[in-house]
Amino acid sequence: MGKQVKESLTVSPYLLWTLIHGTQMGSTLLIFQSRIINGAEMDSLFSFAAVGLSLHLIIAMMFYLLSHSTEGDIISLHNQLFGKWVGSLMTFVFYGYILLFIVNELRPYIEVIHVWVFPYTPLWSLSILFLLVASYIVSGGLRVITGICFFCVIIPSLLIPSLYFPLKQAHWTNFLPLFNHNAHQFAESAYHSLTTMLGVEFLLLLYPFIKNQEKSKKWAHIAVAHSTLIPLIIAFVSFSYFNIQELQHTIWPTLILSKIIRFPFLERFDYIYIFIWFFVIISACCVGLWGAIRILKKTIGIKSRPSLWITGGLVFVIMLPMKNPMMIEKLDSVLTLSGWILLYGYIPLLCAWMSLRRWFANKKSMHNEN
Amino acid sequence: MQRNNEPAKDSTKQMKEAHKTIAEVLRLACKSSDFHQFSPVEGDFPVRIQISYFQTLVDNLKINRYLVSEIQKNIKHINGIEDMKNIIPLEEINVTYDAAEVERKLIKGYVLIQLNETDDAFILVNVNITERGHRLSNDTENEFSVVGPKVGFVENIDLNIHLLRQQMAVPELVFEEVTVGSMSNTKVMIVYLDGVTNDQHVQTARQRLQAIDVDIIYDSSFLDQIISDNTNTPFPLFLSTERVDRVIYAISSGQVAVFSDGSPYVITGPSTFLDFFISPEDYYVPWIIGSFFRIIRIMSVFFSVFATPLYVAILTYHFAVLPEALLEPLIMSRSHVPFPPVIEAIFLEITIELLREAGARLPTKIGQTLGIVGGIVIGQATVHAALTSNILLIIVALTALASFTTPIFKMANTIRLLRFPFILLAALWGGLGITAGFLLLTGHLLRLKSLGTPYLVPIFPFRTGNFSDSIIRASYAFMTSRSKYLKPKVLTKYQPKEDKEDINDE
Repeated sequence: MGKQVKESLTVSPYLLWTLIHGTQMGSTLLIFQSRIINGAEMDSLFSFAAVGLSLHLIIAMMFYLLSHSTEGDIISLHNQLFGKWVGSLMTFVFYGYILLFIVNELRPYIEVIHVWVFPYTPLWSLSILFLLVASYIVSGGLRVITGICFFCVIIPSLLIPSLYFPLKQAHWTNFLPLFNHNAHQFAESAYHSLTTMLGVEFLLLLYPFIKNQEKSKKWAHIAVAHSTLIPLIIAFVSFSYFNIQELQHTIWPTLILSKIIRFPFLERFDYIYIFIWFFVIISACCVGLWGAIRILKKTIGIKSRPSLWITGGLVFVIMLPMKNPMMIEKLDSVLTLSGWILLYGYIPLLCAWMSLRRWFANKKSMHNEN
Repeated sequence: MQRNNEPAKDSTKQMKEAHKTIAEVLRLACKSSDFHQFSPVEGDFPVRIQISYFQTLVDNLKINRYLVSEIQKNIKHINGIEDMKNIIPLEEINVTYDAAEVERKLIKGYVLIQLNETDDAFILVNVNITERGHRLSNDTENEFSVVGPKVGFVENIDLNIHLLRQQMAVPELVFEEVTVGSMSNTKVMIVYLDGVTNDQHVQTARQRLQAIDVDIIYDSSFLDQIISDNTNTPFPLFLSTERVDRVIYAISSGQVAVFSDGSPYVITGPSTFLDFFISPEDYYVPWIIGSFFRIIRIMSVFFSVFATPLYVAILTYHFAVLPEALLEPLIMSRSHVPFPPVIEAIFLEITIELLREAGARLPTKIGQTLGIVGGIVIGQATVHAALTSNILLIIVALTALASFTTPIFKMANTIRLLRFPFILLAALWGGLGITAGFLLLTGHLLRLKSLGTPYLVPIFPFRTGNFSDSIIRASYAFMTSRSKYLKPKVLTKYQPKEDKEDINDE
């Protein structure tokens, strides 16, 4: 096919599941409930599920695009569709988006650390800690990243049973009445749902590294379904536990949920949540950093190690001035908007363009044959 | 250092030696007082015979009883090299024209027989005595097991091969010899099961051993470090053992073993992380008990690495995590301790390391006394002097105990070392530091490889169907096939008869 990199660098198709799922799960999982209720309130579960379902369509479009690109990733796709200069420019816009994505994983998590655990630790020292850990993992190559993602899928999923404790206090009437919102409100909730599930776009870079690409489609869809299901479960439990007014004034509903868990040897279960979330964000950061390196390597031709330092340094520099917690909200709104533009605007557009090109090319060849 | 499988380089060493003449070789040897040269017969005979050897390397009995006496008896019939070969009643007789080879063989305990000094053909007879200076038996004291064989390998490679052949009586067991070390010329054997072991493993091991350029091989663990895939790691990438049953199990499951002359330890590879927590005793007891102890052993690794760092993290930053009932005894025991938890923990950990190191260096009998003096007296005294808290003393003693459950010494060392960076990280960033350390450790383990096989397999890359003998030791009815990640040529080991009792048979 010629769309794969060297055989020794590829990973098994089932690992695409952990890679995409690991990238999608991130620090937003701690906050997303209080965001998606803007609009459809308790009914936002349906908006969330709808966005999750529509992502399957986007995944299918991505696979269509990638299977017709020359080297199987977005960089070659851009060069193919827009020519070298405009294509590189578009790739760099994507690079900027990746930087934003990494910052959006790290900064909210650092905020959690600041508020819950270490109020006096400076922002820069925590950022260095996270970036160094991520850089060490990324410098091991995609195999190591995949391994980390693999463990990051297992460990947070072990936390799901802990939701049993808040369920004991559930108020099932919180959900009633169902469907008492209009289409606009549903749409607003859907708009805020997307940040939790961002990360599927890295398929555009990962695709050439997957061994059996036909088989991998199944796993990408499983990954998206998995990443839709876990926030849905968490949101469902939090909606049954909190009422809507409480949720509006809670910044980290997932953490508050875990506070009621008590064991004879453990008073504050939320600490376990916070520290285990390190696993959740690091996998997304690693895939993000890896993607950024790949872009720098293929467009400008900088070697992997310097481009790792460049990207890490850029993330650090972007993060430094974000001292104010209000910046996190702004960051999220920027990322949501760009995520919508990328996934639901740009990719369908590329898809349309690609199919038109192919249609014309087909017609031309038919014409030539005649 | 990461390594690729580079092809062996041609050594220029042999080229240089080729220019030596036999006179030079003998002149150099004569400088040593243990070098003997004599003629067995004097007088007017068709040939003049000269015998030379290093007296300390050869079996004098063989020379006197067979070599010299046979030559003296048959001297009249000896006219040339061929006759000589025919009369000597010893098995390994070589004829060579190469002075360099003469030099190499002399130092390995061969006898040089020259006919008519000026001739350029030499006879080399093997009369070396390998048993001298070696112990002939070894009880597996360092990898002890209550049930099962107690015979271990010794320093003599021929005896080791004999031990192995005794237990695996098939011609498919292949011993490939490689000579390593420019000064020691150590005999190194690559052992594998032909038709089972994947050629790639054998090829990699062979290539790496042939590429070694070093003067003396002191021990097989020396080889282990040179041929390992990654030298900047505290983890052992090859399993080294003195137990015969362990090596046999490794070879029969499709791994390669490397024997080195002069070393009672044999290294086997490709090894995986879980291999180091397997004890041969697991196979000698019923599978339920074997699995239970294996799980205990793996859990004790986690306990040993994380218990002290957790103590430091909780007492430094996260005391809110503990419920009141548990916090009270902690505060009571720490109330007079003047240090922060990290100093306290490192102080005690280093004390334990000192005890262990001193115990290992001292003779066994004194070592026991030291254990009692160190463990009880120092432990009690430090608590009384309020240098550490009682609870930390318990934790540190337990972690030390837990780290000794690992059957392989090298891995036990690694686990004890791992604790220290974790304690420091816990002191710096609390629970976050421990998580960061865990991620770094996982990232490190994921990039390790042993003979090209990922170190963490079968956990990652996740391979189903390899778990019957990993975290648990399943019943023999389910351990019928070899591990797939070793890519053996034949997967099934044996096929048990299916005669299960049915409930209706009653």
